[in-house]
Amino acid sequence: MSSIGTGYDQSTTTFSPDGRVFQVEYAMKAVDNSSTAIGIRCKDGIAMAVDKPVISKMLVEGSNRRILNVDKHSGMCVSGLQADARQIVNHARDEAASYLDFNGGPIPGSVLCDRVAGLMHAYTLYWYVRPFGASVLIANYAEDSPELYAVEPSGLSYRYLATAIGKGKNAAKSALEKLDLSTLSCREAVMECAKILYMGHDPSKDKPIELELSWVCDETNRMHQLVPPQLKIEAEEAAKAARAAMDE
Amino acid sequence: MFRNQYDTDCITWSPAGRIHQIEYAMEAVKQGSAAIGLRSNKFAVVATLKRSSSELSSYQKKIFVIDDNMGIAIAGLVADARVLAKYMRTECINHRYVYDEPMQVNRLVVQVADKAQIGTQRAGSRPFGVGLLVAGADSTGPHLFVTEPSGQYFEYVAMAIGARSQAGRTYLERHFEEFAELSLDELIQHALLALRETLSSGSELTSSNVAVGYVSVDKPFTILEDDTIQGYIDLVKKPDEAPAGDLLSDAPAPAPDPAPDPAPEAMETEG
Amino acid sequence: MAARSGGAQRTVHPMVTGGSVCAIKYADGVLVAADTLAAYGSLARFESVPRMKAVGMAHDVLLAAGGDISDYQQMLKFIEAAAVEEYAINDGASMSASAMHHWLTRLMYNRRSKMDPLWNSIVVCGHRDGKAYLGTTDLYGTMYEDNFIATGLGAHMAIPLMRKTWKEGMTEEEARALLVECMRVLFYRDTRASSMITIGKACAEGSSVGEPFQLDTYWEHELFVKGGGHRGDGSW
Repeated sequence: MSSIGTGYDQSTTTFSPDGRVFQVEYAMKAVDNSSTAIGIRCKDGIAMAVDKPVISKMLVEGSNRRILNVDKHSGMCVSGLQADARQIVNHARDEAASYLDFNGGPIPGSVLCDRVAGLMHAYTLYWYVRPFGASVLIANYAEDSPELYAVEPSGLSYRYLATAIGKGKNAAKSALEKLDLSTLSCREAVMECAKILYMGHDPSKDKPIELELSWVCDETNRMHQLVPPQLKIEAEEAAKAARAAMDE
Repeated sequence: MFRNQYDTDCITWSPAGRIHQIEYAMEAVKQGSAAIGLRSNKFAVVATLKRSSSELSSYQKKIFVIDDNMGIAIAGLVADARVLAKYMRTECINHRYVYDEPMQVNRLVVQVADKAQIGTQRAGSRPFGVGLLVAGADSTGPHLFVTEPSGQYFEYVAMAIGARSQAGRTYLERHFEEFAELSLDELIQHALLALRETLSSGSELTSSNVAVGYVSVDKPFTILEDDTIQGYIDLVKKPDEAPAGDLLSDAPAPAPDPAPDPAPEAMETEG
Repeated sequence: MAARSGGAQRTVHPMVTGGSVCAIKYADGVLVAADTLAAYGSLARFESVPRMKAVGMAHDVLLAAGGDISDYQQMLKFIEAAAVEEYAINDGASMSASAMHHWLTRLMYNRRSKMDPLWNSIVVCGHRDGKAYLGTTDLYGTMYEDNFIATGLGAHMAIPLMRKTWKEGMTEEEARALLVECMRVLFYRDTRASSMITIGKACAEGSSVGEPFQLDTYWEHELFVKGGGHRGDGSW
């Protein structure tokens, strides 16, 4: 970041002499300071999870969502500025609805990802807007193939077997690499997601967190939804137990 | 005078991944006098502390009716709040025209938050400098929402925003678990007690500087002020001020002297 | 929209059409009946086209329609899009039958005010919070609610039967019998009706559409067999 203060980092429409667009990198910082979000693709579906700091005990439980439905068969898990992320989700919903209207079938993951990435990229191109301060995971189960994508503020997107974004992404990614994704069921993936998020959370020094868990799989009839309360409790308890075992 | 070169518009990210202009807009909310909100299983209640710019001026209204099932209490730039209130009223009227039904509170709040976000991502506009407490009731019961200039929104059981709202929040945090089953009268008293915590030293709750709004699934949003709020103010008078009212069981000890009023900013908040 | 002859081209007459819809409230909700014929003019073109559907995010609304089938299908797309939107919002609320009825009425009134109507009579049924809802809207955007409703030729030929027979708190069997009787009368007298009908239901368990079935009919009247013509040989 030696270019800070040289004036090359003031606008999205300015390249620095070494070919970087700092404004986009700064926007990604907003994500790197935010909640960790994880997505795992299994044979029978996709599981996603995100941790949220509990900002107040007076908050109504289940409000302040970071996992949102896009369509019946697809959902998004977001990290970064929630207000920015909502615009991305709204756009994804519009794209999914117009695809369904025009083509008569559910939007494929690749198309949805493309449209979302296109939007986010467009916000890096013009002086009069700023890049989104959010990254998104997209879970999509259409046409017999569960697919997981991640899109960054730059507009860059990849398809993943498993990935993580946000504050604890590096630790989470190395934990994900240890999983055998060819045999994992979606139900097990939900448990793993919770475990990984709790591994990255130190109850003795970090603020309390709350998890949000979702899945779209054969078990849910290929509908994207939050996991049932019972499964959430199971996953969180197993995760806390694993965390406690690690601390000992 | 500038804190840094990244804080003069809302389309510039700072190297730390922050947008200072949004944070400054949130400061405008803290300049406005306090607004308290809380809810039970039946009612949503808001209470505000009104300011007047001089002895000869009226007190600035801080609660706005949006529709029969909804109202807002605001802290920050009143002019910005009126823009949002007008938008909300229009949306509610259009919704009633199309569906013959009041709007779901959370859906309108999301729309307002989305509208607020747009002002944070474009050159040529600025974020709204106002925070809203939205009290409403719909088919899913009573609700209390808070919106911020950033475009964030939250649903709370109880919350306080505005100047010295931390003291009000502390009061609410101590009591919110009792709210679910309380009667309307008890809720209003809690709202006033929380509001009292936000007073600067030397001032007190009066019928002219306090307004309360409440709504339930079967009662339309109603504002209590002037004569209609006097009775409730008498109820929460401190024992040493007047004949002892029916104080709620464990009313808190008076708060420590709050910080002095922040210096007025270039842009006036609430007249 | 611009046509060669100048001026905008609009639906000035329906092409493939459905006939009457009959619906009544009964003790546990609403029952609605319609045949499955989609006629092309006077030609019985498609014999098994569904004209009623369980709709809405909670699937507790039942929409039945007569008139232009393609306009009805378009309407179903709008409703499905709204349902997906509500699924995405996921806030525990969903559009009631009454809200949907008002919405569709606004839609139809707007379209007719543009001189481009959706050429339908629709019947909206629902059941929520222990209350049944039954309403109808026509292509002009005229709406009303009632305990029994019949559209198309049914408004002339089924309504008198309903007025005579309908009472508060009918059992499902009684209500079904009344609807079947209405549909039979319509089949006998309406040249665009078919004897294959479906009956849909909106009740506390949600809304559903039954399997199509054939009406029992009787054609062996003496005059039918003999024929009414002057030749007396069975021909007309």
